[in-house]
Amino acid sequence: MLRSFASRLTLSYLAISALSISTILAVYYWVVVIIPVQRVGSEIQREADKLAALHEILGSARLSEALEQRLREPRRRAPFHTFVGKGGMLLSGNLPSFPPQRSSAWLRVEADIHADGLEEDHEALILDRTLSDGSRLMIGRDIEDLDDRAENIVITAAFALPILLLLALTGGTLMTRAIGRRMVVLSDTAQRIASGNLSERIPLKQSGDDFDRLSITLNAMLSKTEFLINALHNVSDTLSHELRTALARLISNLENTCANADDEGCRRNAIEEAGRLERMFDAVLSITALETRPRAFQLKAVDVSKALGDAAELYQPAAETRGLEFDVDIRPDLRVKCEPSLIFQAVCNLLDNAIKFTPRAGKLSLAASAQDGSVVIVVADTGPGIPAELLELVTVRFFRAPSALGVPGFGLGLSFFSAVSALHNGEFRFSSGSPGLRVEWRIPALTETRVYPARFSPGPHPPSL
Amino acid sequence: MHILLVEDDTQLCRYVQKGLREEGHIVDCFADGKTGLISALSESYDLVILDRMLPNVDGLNVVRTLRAAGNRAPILIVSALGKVDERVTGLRAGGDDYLTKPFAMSELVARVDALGRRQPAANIVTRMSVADLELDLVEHAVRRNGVSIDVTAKEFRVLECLMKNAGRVVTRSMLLENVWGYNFDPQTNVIDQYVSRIRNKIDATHPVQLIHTVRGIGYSIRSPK
Repeated sequence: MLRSFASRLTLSYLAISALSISTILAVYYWVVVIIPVQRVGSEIQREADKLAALHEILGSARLSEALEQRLREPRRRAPFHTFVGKGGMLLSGNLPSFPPQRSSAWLRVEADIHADGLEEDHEALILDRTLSDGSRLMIGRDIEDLDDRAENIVITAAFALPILLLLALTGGTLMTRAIGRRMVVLSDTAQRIASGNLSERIPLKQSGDDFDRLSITLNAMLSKTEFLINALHNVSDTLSHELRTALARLISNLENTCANADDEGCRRNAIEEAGRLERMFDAVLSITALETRPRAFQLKAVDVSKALGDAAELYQPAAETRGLEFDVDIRPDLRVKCEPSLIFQAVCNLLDNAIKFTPRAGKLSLAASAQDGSVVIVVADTGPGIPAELLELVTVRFFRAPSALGVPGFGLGLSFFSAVSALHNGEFRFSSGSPGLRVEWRIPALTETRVYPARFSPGPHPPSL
Repeated sequence: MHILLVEDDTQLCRYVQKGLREEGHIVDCFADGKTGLISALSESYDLVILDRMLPNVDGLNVVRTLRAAGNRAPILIVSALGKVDERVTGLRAGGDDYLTKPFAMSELVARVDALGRRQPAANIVTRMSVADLELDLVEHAVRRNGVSIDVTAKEFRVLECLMKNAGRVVTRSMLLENVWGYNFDPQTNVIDQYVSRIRNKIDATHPVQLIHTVRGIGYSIRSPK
């Protein structure tokens, strides 16, 4: 399926959702916790400055008074302080505890109060300041409410984020699966159409959405293409019929004319020439049919070692007549999905070439075996071979290498072979045999083992292929 | 033989009529499927030659109709439509042989002869012989003058095909179709060389030659008169 695309999409959705929620919570935290705390801090700072100045001018006793006074003032945030003299003696204060030494400017002190049997939670934000005479003033206010708020936000995050991520994952998966399904339908249909069934169309969901609009456009394109291809086939069929009929008439005329002329040689030559033309025409048509009408050929699961053996046997006498050593090594059980007559013909073309072009006392070989999920067929000879720069061109219609001068043939045999290979999803490679030409042909094999889908278990009768 | 020819191309009609008449056959020609069909059903023909593409009716429908009506005459379908799957379609519809246009007269004659010899087989043939050459179809053995000759499976089939048409010409394409079951035309004389090898096995050590090459047409097996 669309494995990586789907997971990328889902992950992106996940990441964005997580980022969104985190951002919201962070901003909220900033606005309702951090900034208010800063404000309280500023206020404490101002208070501290004022009291330090007072102490500077009026001394410790007056400061203690002012601090006591401060405790009695009704304010929203409960005041806290501790005043330690330069000797380390506590002069005034209501903080339940404080660090013995000054370590940092700001600190938090828990200052829970027990009053009337009830416990009140307080968290004091304290500014710890050393005064000019060495005494220490710790002054601050309660920020329990802000502290609570912070705690709540953290708890919210701790719960919300996992839930959110789960939802995002689910949502993302459902979304991509929905898209994925539509995409799979599209790509499966396209694949079937590409393999030859031009009359198929992409099914519509009738929802009028983007996919449907795309499908409608593609379907229109396919209809046009199908129409054109059919027109082409009709033209081709008509042409073929006309040419064949014309050739038939030509041959009949020749037979009559030359018969009247009572010249056996004339008759023979003319008819052979016409026959030659017919064979070439046939070959070109076969190649075109293979290329443009793949569905006309029903491929079946067949062991091709038999067809290959037949081809080898057919060409054995011809090889012998030319004084060529013919090595044949065909392994058994080479099962492929194929039209065996086409495989036979294609290999015959390869052998035909090998024999035609290899001079006397040369060698040619045909080997076939199963390797790595493919059936590999190799035909090699010790003839003049094909120059490296022309190797790519050998399967072009009517191509003949320079070394083919004087040797009979149209240059269509390898073009036919190429078309047969394409029909069978095969791959081939022409290379220099040093000397000679080597063809390696790979066709996907049918494996013997049957893989059972996880839902089913083998029944009482093992299925046969 | 009394042959029915259903062909809309008048020139081809004349050509085929002439060629077959020279071989001693009687040929009735009809230019469209309907009259051809009526004729085939009302008269008794030994062979029907039918063009696949006829005006107003598909030749294959004529074949199917004939077969459905119980007509058992051998039918040779002639067509300008090419190879593999068309031949299969034609034979499946009930035809007995299939020939693509253009064809040489010799090819047509050879196939007409081969079809003409077909009679409903009352007995199953287990042995065939021409002169002192014997083919045992059960044992898949070949013997000449009592001496066993080693042949491959395909070579046996070639001999079988030749002997079924003993005295008649079997063309290269007939051999290819019957022996290898493949419908293709090798551009070279590889069939000739293959048959030569068989001839060596059968005829080389004997004074009398049984397998003959009919130049330009095909091969035949026959005992000398």
